[in-house]
Amino acid sequence: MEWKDYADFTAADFLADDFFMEWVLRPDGENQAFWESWQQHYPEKQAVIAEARAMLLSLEYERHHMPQESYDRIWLALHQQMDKAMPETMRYERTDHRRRWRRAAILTGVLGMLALGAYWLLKPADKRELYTSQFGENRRLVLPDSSVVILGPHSSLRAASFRMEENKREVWLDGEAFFIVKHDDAMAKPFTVHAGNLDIEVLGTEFNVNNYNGRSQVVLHSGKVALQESTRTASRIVMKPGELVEYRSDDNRYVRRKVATEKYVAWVDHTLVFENTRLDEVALQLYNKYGIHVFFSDSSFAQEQFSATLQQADHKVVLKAIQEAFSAQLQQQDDSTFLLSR
Amino acid sequence: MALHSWEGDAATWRQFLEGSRDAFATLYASFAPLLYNYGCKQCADPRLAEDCIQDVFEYLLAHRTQLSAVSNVRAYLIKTYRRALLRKISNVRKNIPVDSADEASFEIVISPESRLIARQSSIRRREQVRVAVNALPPRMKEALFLRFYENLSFEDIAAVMDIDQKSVYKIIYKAFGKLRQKLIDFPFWLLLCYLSVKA
Repeated sequence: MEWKDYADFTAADFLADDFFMEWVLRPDGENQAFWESWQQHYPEKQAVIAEARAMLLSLEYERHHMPQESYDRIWLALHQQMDKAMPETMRYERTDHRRRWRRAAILTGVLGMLALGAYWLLKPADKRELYTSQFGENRRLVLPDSSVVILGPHSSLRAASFRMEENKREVWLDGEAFFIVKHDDAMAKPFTVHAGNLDIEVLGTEFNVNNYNGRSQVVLHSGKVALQESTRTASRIVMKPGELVEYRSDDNRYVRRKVATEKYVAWVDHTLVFENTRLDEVALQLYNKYGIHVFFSDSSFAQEQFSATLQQADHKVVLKAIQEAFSAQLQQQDDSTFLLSR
Repeated sequence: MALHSWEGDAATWRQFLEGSRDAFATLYASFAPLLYNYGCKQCADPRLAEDCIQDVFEYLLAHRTQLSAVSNVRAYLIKTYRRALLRKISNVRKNIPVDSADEASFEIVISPESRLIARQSSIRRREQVRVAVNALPPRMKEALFLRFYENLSFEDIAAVMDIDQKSVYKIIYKAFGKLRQKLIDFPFWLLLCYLSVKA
């Protein structure tokens, strides 16, 4: 499995891509959401995508259905031969198999040692990959262990190499990300997310981490995670699904509460949810995600509360909704500065 | 996802190798119709397609103890079946002069329900497109079919078609290029699909 960046893809590259093909031929909630939002953020790629889609959809094939008589006739013939080739009693063959297995096991051992030796000689330097997203962009990443990360806008993720002999998986996050961590029973390698002053130890699960401007917040959607403050001055706590935990470094404590997790992961589908959120908090979120500055004409306006669920949201959609909700005036001062007044 | 069922197939395959009759029945039930479909696309003679299905499964029974584990059972079976089929076709051709059935193989259908075709587009235009698209060489059409209908990876297609992976990429990318030409010959169309995608 490899990390992908679709921004440089041509129509032919899209056609050769499995995830793209899945979406066109077998759309489901997940790939639909991804490709729709991706196109929103790469409007210049819409024509290429449309072209690739059109080509793929033009490839239709008629299905030849096997006649039932033919199916039955062949099966009857095979069934008679099966009685000869695969008798119900298998004693002789079982011992035969065991012997072969032992030989295979020894051979595997020898090959394994050779491979390990070759590996040590040719061992690549340990490198960490760095992935970043732009303002307003969500990036979908697939980690080498098949875990999926949706990286939120203006965020970055560093990942250790996930090598086979490494007995842990580790990533470092700045910003926001939604994790769908693959639980690996066979290898049981712990997965750790380092986010600001929190270490999140994952036990196979879906959760959202947000540490924009140094405030680390974890929302657990399903599964189980354990949190540990990185200097180990606070104790380790285990979260339950549906919980939000925020670590406050100023007074060194965790704040824990029950939340509707959907609200916190809606951004993955480019939906923004505000529930009695103060406008200055909204402005902060817009700064974190889209890099824009929003000012209010007076401080009482900034303290007003705002509720809305906005789909396919970007900063323009949010500002327009605020403008309508408060009958306010919106002035754009430059590329990234807006003033709301009433 | 497709990947998951491949793992299931591989497990069934292992059980068959260990002597499970149920596993063999499962393999037949899941792959005989698939091979039939493939065979009819390759050779247009259903009887030949059926005979080869029987041959392949008989071969599996007879050689079970010599077979090894495979990761993609679908690709393995298509490959085995394809060989049997091509052998049989060439045998048949020695005796009977066959009209060029090759051109018709892996025919791409432009169905009226196709999302590509706007309702307004005439039957004549649809026919033009069908002919143009199906003028691709059979090998290209086969590679496209394996990729987009059977969901095989480039690696598996290479194994099935007995060519190296690089050639598969080359064939498929070239096919995209040609398809693109055909589609761009019909700008009216492309505009409609573009609009339908945006909607």
